[in-house]
Amino acid sequence: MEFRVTKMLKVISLFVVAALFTTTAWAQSLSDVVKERGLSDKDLLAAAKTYNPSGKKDEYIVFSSGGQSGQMIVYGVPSMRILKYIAVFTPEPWQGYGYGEAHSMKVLEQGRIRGRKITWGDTHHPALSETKGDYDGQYVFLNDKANPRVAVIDLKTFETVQIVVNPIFKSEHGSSVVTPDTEYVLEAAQYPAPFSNKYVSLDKFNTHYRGGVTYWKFDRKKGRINKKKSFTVEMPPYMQDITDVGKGVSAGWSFTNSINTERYVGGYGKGNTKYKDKLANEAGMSAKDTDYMHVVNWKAAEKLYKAGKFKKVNGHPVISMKDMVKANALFLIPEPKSPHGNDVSPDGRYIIVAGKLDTHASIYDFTKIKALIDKKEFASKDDYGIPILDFTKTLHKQVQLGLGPLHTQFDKEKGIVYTSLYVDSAVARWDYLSGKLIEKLPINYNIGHLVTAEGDTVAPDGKYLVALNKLSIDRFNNVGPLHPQNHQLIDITKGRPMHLLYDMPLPLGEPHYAQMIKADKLKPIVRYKKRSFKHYVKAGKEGVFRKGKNVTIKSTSIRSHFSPEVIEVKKGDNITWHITNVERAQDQVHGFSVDNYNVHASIEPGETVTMKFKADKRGVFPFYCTEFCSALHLEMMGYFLVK
Amino acid sequence: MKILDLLKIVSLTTLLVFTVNTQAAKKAKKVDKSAEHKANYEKKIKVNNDTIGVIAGVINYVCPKLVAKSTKICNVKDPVASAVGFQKQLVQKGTIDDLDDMEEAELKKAIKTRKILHQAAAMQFYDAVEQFKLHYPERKKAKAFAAKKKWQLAAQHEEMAWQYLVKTASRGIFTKKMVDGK
Repeated sequence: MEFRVTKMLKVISLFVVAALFTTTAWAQSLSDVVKERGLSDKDLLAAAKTYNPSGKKDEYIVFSSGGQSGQMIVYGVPSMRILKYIAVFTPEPWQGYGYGEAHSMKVLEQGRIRGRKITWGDTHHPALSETKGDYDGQYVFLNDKANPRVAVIDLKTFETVQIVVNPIFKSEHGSSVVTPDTEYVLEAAQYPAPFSNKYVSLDKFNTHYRGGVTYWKFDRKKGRINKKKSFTVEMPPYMQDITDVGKGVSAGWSFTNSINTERYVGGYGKGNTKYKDKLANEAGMSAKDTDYMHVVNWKAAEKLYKAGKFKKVNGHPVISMKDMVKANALFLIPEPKSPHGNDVSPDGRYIIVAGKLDTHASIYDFTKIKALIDKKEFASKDDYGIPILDFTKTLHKQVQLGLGPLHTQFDKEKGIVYTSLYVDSAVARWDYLSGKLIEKLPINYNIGHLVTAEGDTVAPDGKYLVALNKLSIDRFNNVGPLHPQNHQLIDITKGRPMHLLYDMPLPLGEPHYAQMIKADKLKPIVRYKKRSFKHYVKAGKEGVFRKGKNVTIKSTSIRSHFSPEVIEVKKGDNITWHITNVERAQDQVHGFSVDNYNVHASIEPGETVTMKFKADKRGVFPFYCTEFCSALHLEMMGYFLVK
Repeated sequence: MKILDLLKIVSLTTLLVFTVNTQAAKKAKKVDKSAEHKANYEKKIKVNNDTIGVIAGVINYVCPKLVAKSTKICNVKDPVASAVGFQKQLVQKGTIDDLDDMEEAELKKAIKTRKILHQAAAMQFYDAVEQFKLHYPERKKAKAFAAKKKWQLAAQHEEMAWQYLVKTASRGIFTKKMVDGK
């Protein structure tokens, strides 16, 4: 008995010692961590404001352009956790976008330009669909500057459903922007070029090269752009730039900045084949003190289009400058040289143009613009006969902000705005109504766009701002000469100085603009409705069907097998392979790949994907589920035999 | 010369011993394999029965959290009846495809009127029960082969039954996590 008690005590003692040891080994107090990591109170506050414990979701969702990746980046605020890369202009294997899956192949095919398949995009400006000037969470549009195109992404699925090619532009920039009820998606040209696809000498720049803004008609019911109801307003060969649309008092109007109204084309560099004695672009393109903001009455342009007052170029309706001027629908207003941002206030009354090469932001008053237009009081006309309004008579105020002002976003608090200062590497908080600069917050480094919560709608939220910085330089671990970009989250809560909360490296192209929407406005589906797919395969109805050389395979996928598992065809057969994921559990996705055939699909719950390819090689090709879907994932395979 | 002869003898002896041993082993294996398959089959039966026991526990745990008490569907003494009853309650007179094709608002309404307490977990659990149903024909086939003493085939079908039970369990455990809000 004594022995037993002693033994038991020994065991208990051992447990106690072990427990104590374990506790002291890993338990740390907050102050221990703070000391160990050299954190300040400010750091702790920032961490507490951004940390999402497991399972906690974000208050806002950011849709950011993915720059040269041709994709869109989706992340949450305040956690800054990346949630998705939406494949748009570029094939993306994980999502099965552009790797044999028929729907995505069709969407990417829409992006062909003059017969050429373009598999990348320089995405710049996402635009969420709006209802009465407020984000409605239904669609998001994204442009491609390099190959003028606009894509439609359906936010029920977060998938690209359409790519529309601009048939007359050769580059663009001021896109995407939507009208307050998403009647139109705007796309402004950038580098002037002939609308036709023919060669035209640069000597004919002023007469044959053109700019413009395309108004893509959006059919909300179908969730697609209707190319047949879209048109372009012709503009001079200035380099049209950032565009915004009117709302409230300025509803029905759109505003487009421009650079190089000098229409200068340089000749810099030894290898130049033309204009060998001219100076570089920079010298001539910003020689004048001012450029022009294009003011368009798009409602009037729509009327002209509907009245048939257009000419078709490459099959696309173009309303001439002449007809626009005649209809009192196109005007110019001088703006400080080489401006950049062009942002309409939530009530639609003011347009803030950031100077870029000028240290000021110029605030135009639309009521003054409209009054001058109504009185037909014009200062002059440009070479193309477009009326020019007097700069000072349209101006509300000019405010000196700092070096390189670029873009402006709005706060919930009336009059308060935030402007990015590219050269200063700072964000300016200021009041556009009173013209007072309130404070500046240094950021790292070279801020381009910036975004505040719902900051370009009729009802901004304030609260958070993200600085979309072009460079990260020394912010993160060095990963070679090409560094990630840096999105910095800033707390802009009213009554407190702005302060930096978080640095997020983004290693996927150079994101330009982003929009931040309240998360609860988004209502994506959890799974697809099986019957909404024409080729839905019901469990138990699988099979292989041959019609001459055309072989249709009807498959289902469920943890952990494809059905059928062994499929034998002949060399030269045209394969159409429908696979339905019959899972109804959330997130129970399956991948699908066939060895050597360069095909890959993501089959999401309820979805039917269709793969089309030719069995052009003899052999034995295992196919398998590429998602670790279950414990028996590795067994989820089959053989595709080509004899 | 002597060394070479010796080597030859050793080689021949080795070959002979090896051949005899292999033949004996093959014979022995043939006899042993049948017994092995039988033992394997019996082992699998036990594993499957134990797994079903675990699944029953999960059903009894999640059922009251998936359907309202007033439906009187959950019966701890008959978890299989609980699971099937739950499925019937969920689809009513239609099929699960009808639910799949409903718009979200319509689905939410249907879930509520059908006294289902947790939409996402219910869909997960429906799939779990579907997998469970698939194990029955496999076990039936296993039994039939066992009766003919085709132990290997019997074991294979018992194994396939277990695969379905594992799928049931994995979905069931996920359902449990969902109803527990974890």
